[in-house]
Amino acid sequence: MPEKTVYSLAKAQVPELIAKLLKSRNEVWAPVKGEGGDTFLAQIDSAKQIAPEYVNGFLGAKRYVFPQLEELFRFKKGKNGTTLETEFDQPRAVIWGIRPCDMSAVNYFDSFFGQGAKSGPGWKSGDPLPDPLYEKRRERAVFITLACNQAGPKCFCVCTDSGPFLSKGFDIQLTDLGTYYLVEVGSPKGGEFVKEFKTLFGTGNENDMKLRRKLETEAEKTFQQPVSFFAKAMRKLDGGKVDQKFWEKVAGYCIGCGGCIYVCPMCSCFDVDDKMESDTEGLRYRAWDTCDFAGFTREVSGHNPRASRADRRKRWFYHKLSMDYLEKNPVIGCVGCGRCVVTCPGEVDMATVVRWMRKVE
Amino acid sequence: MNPNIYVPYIAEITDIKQETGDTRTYDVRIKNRDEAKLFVSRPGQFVEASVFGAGEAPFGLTTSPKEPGVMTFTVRACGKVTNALAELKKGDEIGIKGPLGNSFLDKIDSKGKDILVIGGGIWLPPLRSMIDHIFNNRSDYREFTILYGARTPADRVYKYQLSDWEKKTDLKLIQTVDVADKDWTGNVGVVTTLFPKLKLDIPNTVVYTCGPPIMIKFVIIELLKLGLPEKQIVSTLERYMKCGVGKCGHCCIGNKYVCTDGPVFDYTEIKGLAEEAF
Ligand SMILES: Cc1cc2nc3c(=O)[nH]c(=O)nc-3n(C[C@H](O)[C@H](O)[C@H](O)COP(=O)(O)OP(=O)(O)OC[C@H]3O[C@@H](n4cnc5c(N)ncnc54)[C@H](O)[C@@H]3O)c2cc1C
Ligand code: SF4
Ligand code: SF4
Ligand code: FES
Repeated sequence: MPEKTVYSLAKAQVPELIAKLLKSRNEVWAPVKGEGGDTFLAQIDSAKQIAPEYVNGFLGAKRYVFPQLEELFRFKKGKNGTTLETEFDQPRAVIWGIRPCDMSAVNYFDSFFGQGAKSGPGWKSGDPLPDPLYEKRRERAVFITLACNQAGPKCFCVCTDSGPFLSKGFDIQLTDLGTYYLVEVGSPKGGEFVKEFKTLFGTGNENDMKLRRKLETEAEKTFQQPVSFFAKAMRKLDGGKVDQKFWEKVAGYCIGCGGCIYVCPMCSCFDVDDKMESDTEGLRYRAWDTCDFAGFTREVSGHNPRASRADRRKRWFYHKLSMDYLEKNPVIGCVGCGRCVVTCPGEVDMATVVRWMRKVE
Repeated sequence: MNPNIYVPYIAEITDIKQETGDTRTYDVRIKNRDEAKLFVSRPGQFVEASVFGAGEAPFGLTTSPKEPGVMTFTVRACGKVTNALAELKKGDEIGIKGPLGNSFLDKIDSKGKDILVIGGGIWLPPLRSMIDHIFNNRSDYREFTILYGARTPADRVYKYQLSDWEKKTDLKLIQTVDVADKDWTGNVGVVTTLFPKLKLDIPNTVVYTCGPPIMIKFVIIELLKLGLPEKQIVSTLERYMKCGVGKCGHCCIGNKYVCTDGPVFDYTEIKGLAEEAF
């Protein structure tokens, strides 16, 4: 592999860069602090809004690549029949300062939404069934990640191989080196970005890379959430050691709020429905949905294959951890972002359940 | 299929037949000629049909297609989309996404084998596409038996067809109902009560089944007891579906997506999933 090109970006230059981006791009997204003190990824209109210090906020990059509510197409019923409007303008965007775990989740989404199983004639086995909305949005955005010099209190990306620094999968990765960022370019798109704003970027050097490697090693020692037992837990799960009683125990603590799933950057399920906006015009949309809700699988006959909460909890962990799924897509369904740990009122988040699972006999 | 996996073709209802009180059969044609050419279905596949404003729902195609862009499916009115479909009349427009899913033909090659089709209630329609295919290629297959069970005689779909099939010499059709009425002369009891009437050449029989989960469960138990090899038991599965294209997650059973890995499975694929398939 050719030696990676690195640059530097003085923190003092960031406001100017953001100002330029706000002019040249339709949208700039960055972590901002809300009134209650939580951080979340949001569209900004000034560099001042960017949260300087933050642990990955609620609703990370998923909010951009897979919006909670999205139009699939519009329809209009007229005298000469129904017409569909299926092309939407997808804005050019820059996603600034997401954490490596979130970037890893986007990379997983790329393979999920970008590919998928075949269907229909003319589709050969294994051919992709790409989601056109996702693909377009992804294509038109540059993703700039900010590596974590310090792990958040609930983070465990080090156990899921999705942080605290990335070696690939980003357009640009920034590392905080005090007064400036080290800038690593990870894709042609990232390279073009640096070229476009070359007056703001300085050259990087081998010393900065050395420092970055040292920071990575140090960051790996700052994790407080001890969850390095994935492999063992997964073996127990696939070995049939985790029985229904286990899931009933988990379900006993779960209030079925679906919070863990909404905040999870790896969860992608959605509902589809239509909405009329007048007598003749309407739209079809999708909205986040979760396997945690009883209605997710309940059929019109009333038959529900996953009627109990224990079955639904089992489903969620199974989808994320079972080797069966890894065969379909070789990454586990968790990037260790710790959001479910922060969110779950019953404390039966990924970290806890993996710990319990590892201990089953 | 349309390159945008969420966008349906605009299609026209060309005919409607009332099957039972709440069930109707729709003949449908994709309007745009170029789009129609892209729609070539195989037995077992399904479509997502849209009533714009009400949403979309999956329905199994019931015929082996004669020309591209033309299809037939049977719908029981029981919810938002299906009730909206029940309001429509000949000439009305709907949306069609598909054909979706795999085919009976993707499973075991059943040419030269005895064929046993076991259907329950409103689940006969998806099987009819395979039945149609067998009739169209009758010499490829040997003994052909259909078992059809319904709750009551009135609940049976395709009654006109059933009486035709009964007259056929190259097909044995046995019907049963859970509850008879005064005109019923046939068998009374669940579909598995018909098994003792069959003389099966076990190693050379392929079974295609589709029905309510509880029926499939017992049919498979009985077939396994008879010694039928697992690969020779082929069933369609049903799950609540939203997208039909492997993205929304609704139809998963274990790691299988019914919409894209199925809806047709053989028993080796269904057994041992992390969740009960039926
Ligand atoms: C592959 C496949 C093939 C199919 N083929 C056919 C076919 O050929 N013919 C056919 O008629 N059907 C077929 N179906 C079933 C058909 O898709 C459903 O009946 C249809 O989706 C119902 O849609 P709807 O919008 O009318 O119902 P909805 O309004 O969406 O109602 C369904 C949902 O509403 C809720 N709900 C409604 N009633 C109840 C209740 N009593 N108890 C609890 N919850 C309830 C549940 O959330 C339920 O899942 C098939 C399904 C699949 C997956
Ligand atoms: S399971 Fe929990 S920790 Fe893992 S990616 Fe999802 S929200 Fe983050
Ligand atoms: S956040 Fe906790 S309580 Fe809520 S659904 Fe998830 S596991 Fe259950
Ligand atoms: S119906 Fe959406 S994934 Fe199968």
